[in-house]
Amino acid sequence: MIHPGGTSLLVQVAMPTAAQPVVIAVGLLYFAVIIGISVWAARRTRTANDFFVAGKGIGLVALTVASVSVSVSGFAFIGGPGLIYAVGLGAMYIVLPAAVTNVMGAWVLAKRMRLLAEARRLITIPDAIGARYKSRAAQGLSAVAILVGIVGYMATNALAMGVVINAIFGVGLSWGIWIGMGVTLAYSASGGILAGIYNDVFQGTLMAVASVLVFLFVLGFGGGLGGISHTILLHDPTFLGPWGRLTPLAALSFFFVFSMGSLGQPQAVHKYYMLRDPLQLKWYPLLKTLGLILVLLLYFSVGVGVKAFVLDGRLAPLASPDQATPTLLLNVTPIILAALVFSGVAAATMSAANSFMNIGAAIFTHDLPVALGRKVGNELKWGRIATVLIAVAAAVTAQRSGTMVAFLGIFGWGLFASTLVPALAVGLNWQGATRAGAIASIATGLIITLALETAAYWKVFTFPAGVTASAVAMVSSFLVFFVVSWLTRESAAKAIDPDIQLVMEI
Amino acid sequence: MLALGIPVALGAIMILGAVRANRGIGALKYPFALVILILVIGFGAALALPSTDGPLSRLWLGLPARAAIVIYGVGLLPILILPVAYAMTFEEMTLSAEDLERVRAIAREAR
Repeated sequence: MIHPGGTSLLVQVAMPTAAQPVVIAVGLLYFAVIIGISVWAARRTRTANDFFVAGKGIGLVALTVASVSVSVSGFAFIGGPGLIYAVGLGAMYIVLPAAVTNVMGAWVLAKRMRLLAEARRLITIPDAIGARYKSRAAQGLSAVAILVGIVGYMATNALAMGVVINAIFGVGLSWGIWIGMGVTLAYSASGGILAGIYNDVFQGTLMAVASVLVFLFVLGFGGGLGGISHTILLHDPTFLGPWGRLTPLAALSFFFVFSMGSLGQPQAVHKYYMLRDPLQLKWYPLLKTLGLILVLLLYFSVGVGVKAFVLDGRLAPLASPDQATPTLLLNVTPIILAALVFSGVAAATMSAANSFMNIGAAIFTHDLPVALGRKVGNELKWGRIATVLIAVAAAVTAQRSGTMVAFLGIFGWGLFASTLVPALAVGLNWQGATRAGAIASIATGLIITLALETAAYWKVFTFPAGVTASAVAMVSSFLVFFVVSWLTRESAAKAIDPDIQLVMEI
Repeated sequence: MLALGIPVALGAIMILGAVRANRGIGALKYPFALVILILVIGFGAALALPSTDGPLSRLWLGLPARAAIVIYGVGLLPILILPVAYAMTFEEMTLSAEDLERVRAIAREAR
């Protein structure tokens, strides 16, 4: 929900170095815990099922915290507050959908994905698409779409890791990338998603604690939310208008893309397979929503707080909006709180990277071979090898120009949304959807997203204010999905296997 | 149009997910209707209310009125309704132990 463009904003941050003894000590402690959890998880990972879906054995609380952790990238801690500082409350339309997206995902996808795991022992999202439409082509095409999105995400997260680790330890950007990716790779390749889940639990908890502490600190320092608002209203009332400096069209477009698009984010949807007891889904949306709200307190409070502190002269004007969080942490908050938040940002980027490494490895060792009618002999071994290759490729890509890497990250979120939401989220709930509709929709989302984002990047084409490539691609993908399904409707009902039909009707 | 269309689209996809075979959505129609209404009113108020925010504006839980409507109304109020409705109707409308056993039975037969 909170990724798009987010990582791209994050990678443009030239974070000031915070390499002080307390920050370094907390950073080392953080990495020590990660390594400890990874060693424990590696000893419990024996099969491909363990590696890719944790043997469907994760409890409700662990799964919820892990899902919160992967839903929030470093953008929520750095780029997001900076965006609020720049455009005011309009930036909140990126996170406001959290009030409905988790429960919407539960109704639309969670039950059906988890029941598919019971019925067919599926382990990937393309598996679900392949089973729903009885189509290896649909499975393969969705795998390719996810892989293209992962390329961008992994590169942006690798670069973001480098930026944060350099800020904590002062080792330089290049070494920061290799250290961050090396640690993430070590636990991803050894313990698979099991290590990822329990590291996510630790990382999500760290992010929530850091966020709540910063929120309370900012309110105290600013004289409460009322005091902060009064300061801003005195100098810049537009900032606290309902759209901030955005147009209503732009703000509502954010809301649409980030709400509907949340149904296609593989790092969150994939988690539904892993819950030990499907009946525990009952409390999943409430717990996840509350967890997300805690993690997002920093996003809101730092954005408006720093704006007020700059306006009343307690902070110097920022060199760039992305400096909002680092400036607050290094000039105002106690250093221990700064240390926690810097480790929290590292946690956010590493948990997202781990999740994508795992999904990407499954595409290479499972989905693409299935789509080609082949089977990989030892999926666990090849899963680990694929994880290593993906991580190295991401780290090498991240060493390149930040602008190019940022571009790769921009379309990741929108690509997932436009290719997966109609075929997966609607398709698992509507028996009128057809194989041809799904394939055409995935292809449309893939082509339009790549074409529009590339044209926008090279400035060949500029969207009208408030219109995004993600929104256009998602609407187009939906239209193609419905039109082609309607045109081929005679093939709809007979193309669903009885067990899949039962899962769709329950 | 978007202020009306987005809430309706979100409501429609939630209803699509909540419907079970031919049984409709039962009591869930009330929370769905309420949240769609909250979103439409929230976005509508943000568009329609005059821009009079200033240093003397009355604050609602620390925010000027239009911002409070968006943050607390659109961003927080649905949390008190939808996830609670989901949990309260879970066995009846989403998944029961019998449903789960039916899926496991068909899976056993297939193997």
